[in-house]
Amino acid sequence: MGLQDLTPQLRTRLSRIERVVGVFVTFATILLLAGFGYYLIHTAQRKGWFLNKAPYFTYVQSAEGLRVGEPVKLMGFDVGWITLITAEAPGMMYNVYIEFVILEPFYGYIWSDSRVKVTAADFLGNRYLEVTKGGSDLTRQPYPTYRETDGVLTHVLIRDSDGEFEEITRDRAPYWLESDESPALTARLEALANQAEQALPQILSLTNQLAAALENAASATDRLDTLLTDARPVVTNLAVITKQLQGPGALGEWLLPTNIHQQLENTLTASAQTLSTTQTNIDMLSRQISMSLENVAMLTSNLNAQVQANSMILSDISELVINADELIQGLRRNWLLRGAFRDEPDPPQQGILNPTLR
Amino acid sequence: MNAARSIQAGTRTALAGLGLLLLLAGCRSAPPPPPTPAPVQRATRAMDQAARLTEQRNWPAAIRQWEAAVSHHRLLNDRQNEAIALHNLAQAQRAIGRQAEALEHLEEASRINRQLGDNAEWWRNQIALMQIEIAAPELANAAATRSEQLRAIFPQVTDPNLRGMFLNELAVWHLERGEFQPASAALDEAGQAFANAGNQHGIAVVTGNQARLHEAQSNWREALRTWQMALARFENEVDLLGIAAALAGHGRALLALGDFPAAENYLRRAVFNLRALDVPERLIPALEALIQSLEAQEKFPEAEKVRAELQQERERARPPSADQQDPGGT
Repeated sequence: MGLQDLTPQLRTRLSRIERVVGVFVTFATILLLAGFGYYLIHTAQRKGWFLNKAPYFTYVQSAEGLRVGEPVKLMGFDVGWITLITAEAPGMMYNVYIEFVILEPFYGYIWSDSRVKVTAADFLGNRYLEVTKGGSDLTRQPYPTYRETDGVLTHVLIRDSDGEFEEITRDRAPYWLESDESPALTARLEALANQAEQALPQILSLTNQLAAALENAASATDRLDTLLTDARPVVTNLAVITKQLQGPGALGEWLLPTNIHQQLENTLTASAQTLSTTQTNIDMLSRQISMSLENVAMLTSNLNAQVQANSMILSDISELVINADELIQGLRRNWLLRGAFRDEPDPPQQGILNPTLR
Repeated sequence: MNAARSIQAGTRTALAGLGLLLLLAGCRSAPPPPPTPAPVQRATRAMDQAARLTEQRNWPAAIRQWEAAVSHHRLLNDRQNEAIALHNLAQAQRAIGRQAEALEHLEEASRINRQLGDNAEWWRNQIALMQIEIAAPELANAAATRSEQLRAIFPQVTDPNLRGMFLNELAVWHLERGEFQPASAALDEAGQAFANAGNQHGIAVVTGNQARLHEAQSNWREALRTWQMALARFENEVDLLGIAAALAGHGRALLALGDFPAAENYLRRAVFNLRALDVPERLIPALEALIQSLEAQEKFPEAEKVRAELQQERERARPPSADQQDPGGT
């Protein structure tokens, strides 16, 4: 039915409704556009679309735990993100090429002496890039990595030694930052565990040897004590005899040859040298034991530090277990699934009674 | 056209609504059950722990836990479980020779079950009382009175397990008094009752008692054959005490039949098992039989060694004097 077929009253009423609808649609469109605009601005601020981005690259030995889009940190802030991870050609010195951008104004902290640390993020093997603040190297003159004019990046540092800059062009490579790479926590823990495992038999063997040495020493002193006790009358007798050998015309002067003093002195010197060598060996042994013990202490301390640093993981696991238990308990009570969880009913309690075997 | 379209739209909406309804119903779980009150939890835990300790034959600890279970159920006024805890407390006390306390607690449990009208538990109490009285020579009169009283009302018992249990005890009572004919009849009936209940352990015990009956009648060949059957049944039921008793029975039968080396073999194995299980009342007769088998083979030095062990066991099994007795008990 056409509009011209309607009565004038109806036509007037309809055109009023159309106007109201038009106003509503316009208002809704404006609101939608405003919302979208706000979202765009917010996203742009968040992602740094209107900020200058300084590109950098680094080389690492392994891309394990690193992903494109992962944030790059500087002094604890998220200041950029990884834009490219790719393997180097075979035969190159480095294995993996990583490119990343740093947002304005944080690239101002990155000087020629800045470095990229590839740090373990968690126990799951993830890692992240952290750029160190530069400009504090006292051994050589550091330079800023980029130079800007009127808020636009114009030049990039090309020679660290004399601070020579070159104009940024489209095919200009990003600035290279050297990296300090540390393996993922899991790999480090594994290496630590392997080291401890290798060291343990040696430590045990060392303690066994020490125990055996102490036992032998105890046994030797025991025997020496017995020997000394037994030798006391002999020494007394010897003292009496030597007293009789002394003096002019005594038997000693006839019996003892003149070179016996020299031989005695030689023997005593050799004994002193032997004792000195033994002393040195014992000192060395005790130093080595001390070092081993220090290493063990360091190992346990490192483990303790790791556990302290990741204390939240235990509470997370605990929470996970509790939540999983609640989920299962909920499923057990679900009318559709409870049949699958049906327990055997407990037998009724009754007094214990066994038949007598004569 | 419009009408058809609106019908289609309506159907779609209805189907979507139905699907949503089904989804909501499917995801619905019953609310969690209310938490068990702490006193009830304590009582239940005490019962569970006591049952575990009893199973491990850790008698002193089991006695403490059963005592705790009695107290907790008394506080809850749970008479039924209080009676069960008292019964089991008595069984643990009996196992370490505290017969007087065991009798007292069984009587108390029996009174409670009588008041509650729980006939099955009352019968269990009565059978346990009868077991203690039969095992103690000084309580022979009490055993006689109780067995007569129970026999009078025995036809009321319908539970085949309880029937088998009572008939087995009755047979043991007759066997103690040298009444072989009624003992044999009672054992046959007991075996039948246990078979009706599907209680294989009960059948094994009855078989063992039948072997003892043959021994008492000096029917050694039959005794040997029955002990073989009993041993196989105890092995199936993994009853360690039953296995040890059957090995000793084998040894005794072979000794009587004059097969001394075989008797020595069985008796040595029985002695080892009984020593490991720490059952002096069975170990002493086994040691005596072993000495006989060794002497019959003129192995006198070995017999002397076993005699020394027998002497030690007799010293150990001697009941403690009044001032050395454990002061525990409810």
